Amino acid sequence: MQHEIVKSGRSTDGPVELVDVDLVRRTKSGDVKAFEELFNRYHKRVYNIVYRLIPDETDAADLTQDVFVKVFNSIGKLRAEEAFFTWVRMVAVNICRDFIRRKPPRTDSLDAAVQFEEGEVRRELPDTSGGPEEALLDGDRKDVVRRAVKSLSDEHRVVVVLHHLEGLEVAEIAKMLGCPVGTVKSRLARARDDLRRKLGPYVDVG
Amino acid sequence: MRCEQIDELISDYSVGNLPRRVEERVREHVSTCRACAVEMERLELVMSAVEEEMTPVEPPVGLWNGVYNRISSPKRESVRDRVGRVLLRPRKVLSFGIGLATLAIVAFLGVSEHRQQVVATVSDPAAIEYVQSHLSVAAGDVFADRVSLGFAVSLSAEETRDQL
Repeated sequence: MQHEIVKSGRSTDGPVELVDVDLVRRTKSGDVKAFEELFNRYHKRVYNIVYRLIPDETDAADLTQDVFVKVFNSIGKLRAEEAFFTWVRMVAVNICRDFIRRKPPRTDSLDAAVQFEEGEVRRELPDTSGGPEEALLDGDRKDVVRRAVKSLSDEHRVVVVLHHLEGLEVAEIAKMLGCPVGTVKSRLARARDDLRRKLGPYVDVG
Repeated sequence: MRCEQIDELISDYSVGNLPRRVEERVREHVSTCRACAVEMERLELVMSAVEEEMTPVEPPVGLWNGVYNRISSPKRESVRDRVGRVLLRPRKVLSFGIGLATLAIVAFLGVSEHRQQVVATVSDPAAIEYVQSHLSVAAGDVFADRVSLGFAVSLSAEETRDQL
């Protein structure tokens, strides 16, 4: 089999790099070394997608491995080889969503308002996870933000990660999650609202 | 619109999740209300902070080893997978079906022929008389197949007439 080898932008004395398409084709024919190269190129990015969706290091590590095992076993079905990472990202998001669904459900919805005779009241349950205020005492803005994102509901965190951290458009997210664009927009709006209330006091408005 | 209402709508406005008329009213209000404009700006700063601070982290060491061990170990095919693999192959399904039908036809023809042969072999008069008396006795049996016995008796009677 002929392989197309495309030189990188380096000088002719440097090593020749294979483009993803070539590595994908080699992997399809069972070349594990080629797959290892794809793993090396993308595992950090995949780990960060997973870790942002499932903010637990052990779970994120296990799920990242699940992603690559699934990719290896299913790569024969991939037609658009040039869209390899787009496909890998979708596999990662689906595996994370399956993991979230398997988690024991909360018995009490934090998003639903409580109805009284006098009207509707938003729930305000105490957050015992160590909120942004505690992180601020340690003086680490990064921690403050991470805790706030981690405290979002699973549904809200998914859309924030995909839109604000992965840079996907609302329509792309809707297609990936299999839900209407309006649903994605609503979730994004609620997530932004939540983050504004939690992090608003810590930003400096000019 | 009051500022409290605008505060509830700011996030929906920022993602384009409002009907056009409501969106226009929010925009008009924010353009004239300093407090609401500050809230709008606060929202944008918060989201910028999220994008800046959620920097990538280093994955743990050894992830590849786990992946490699799993993709290298021989896969066990489940019974379900095996059955599915066979049933989803059209040629095999067709061949199997034709074979089964052929077997059924051969078995049916074989049994029918065997039944007729059993009745047609008796030709000796003494043997016929013996068979007739035996069949008569057997016909009285509760478990006797009266239809086939009657048929056998009538056939053997015809044979006897032919012999005579």
